Amino acid sequence: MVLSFSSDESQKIHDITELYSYYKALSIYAEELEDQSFIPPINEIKDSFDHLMRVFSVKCGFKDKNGEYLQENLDAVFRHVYRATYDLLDYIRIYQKEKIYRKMEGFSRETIVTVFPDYYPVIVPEVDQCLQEIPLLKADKDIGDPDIEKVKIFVSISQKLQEYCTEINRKYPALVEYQNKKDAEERVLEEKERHFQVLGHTIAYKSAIIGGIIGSIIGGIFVYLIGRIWG
Amino acid sequence: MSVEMDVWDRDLRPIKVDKYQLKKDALRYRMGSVRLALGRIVTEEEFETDKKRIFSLKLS
Repeated sequence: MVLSFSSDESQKIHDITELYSYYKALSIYAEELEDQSFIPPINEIKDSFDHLMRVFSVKCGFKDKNGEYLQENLDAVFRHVYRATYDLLDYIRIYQKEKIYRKMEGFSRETIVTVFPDYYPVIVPEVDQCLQEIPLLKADKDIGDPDIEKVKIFVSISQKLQEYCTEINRKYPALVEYQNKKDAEERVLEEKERHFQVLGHTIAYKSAIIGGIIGSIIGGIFVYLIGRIWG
Repeated sequence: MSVEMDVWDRDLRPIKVDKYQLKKDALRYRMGSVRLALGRIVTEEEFETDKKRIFSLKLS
């Protein structure tokens, strides 16, 4: 049996396949990112497969429907893959931010500025921008006119964040080393300060004792002399 | 076996997972996906909660 498709159908299948290639790359990355499976895009892909099989049910002769039915179902396949892709983009940007946050927490501003000069002027603004640029289409199921070009832009933003995550991982050992060195220096300083404080207290304490003894002796002599004069 | 003609146009129900129940009955899922058995999945509700929390984090 040979299945044949019209020119419009072939174009739609081409678009679906191209979009799916983005979905698949994002899906692999999303699972690596958190080592978990995200349910909403799986639901979308399940539904898209169902619509695709409706097309094949007609092509294979299980169902008798016209070209409009085929086109509607191919559009539905595209829409479901489109939503699945946006679900993943939404998921990835959120957990990428958390990953960066977890990685960088605990480092002082001085450590970050010294070891990773690009972090504050480049990476932090880009992460914030990315969080705002990828729209929250997941909540809005009416995706209007699906546009593969928009997907390409958002995928490239997401890839840029992936590169930043890799860069942070690469810098991480140097950040730890610098922070440990600074912490050690601070501990030595604190130790010295404490030592001087103890020394100051000891001197004050001893001075008080000596002062007391001297005062007692002088007082004793004074009383003795008074006694002798009056005596 | 013949297939009902209208079965093609019926929508499938979405997958809904109760993660707590899944972890509790992990042994029942030992033949399936390891990830599922371990409860290593993120549901839509969990994601929405995480999203609010992570949005409010300020990068150091």
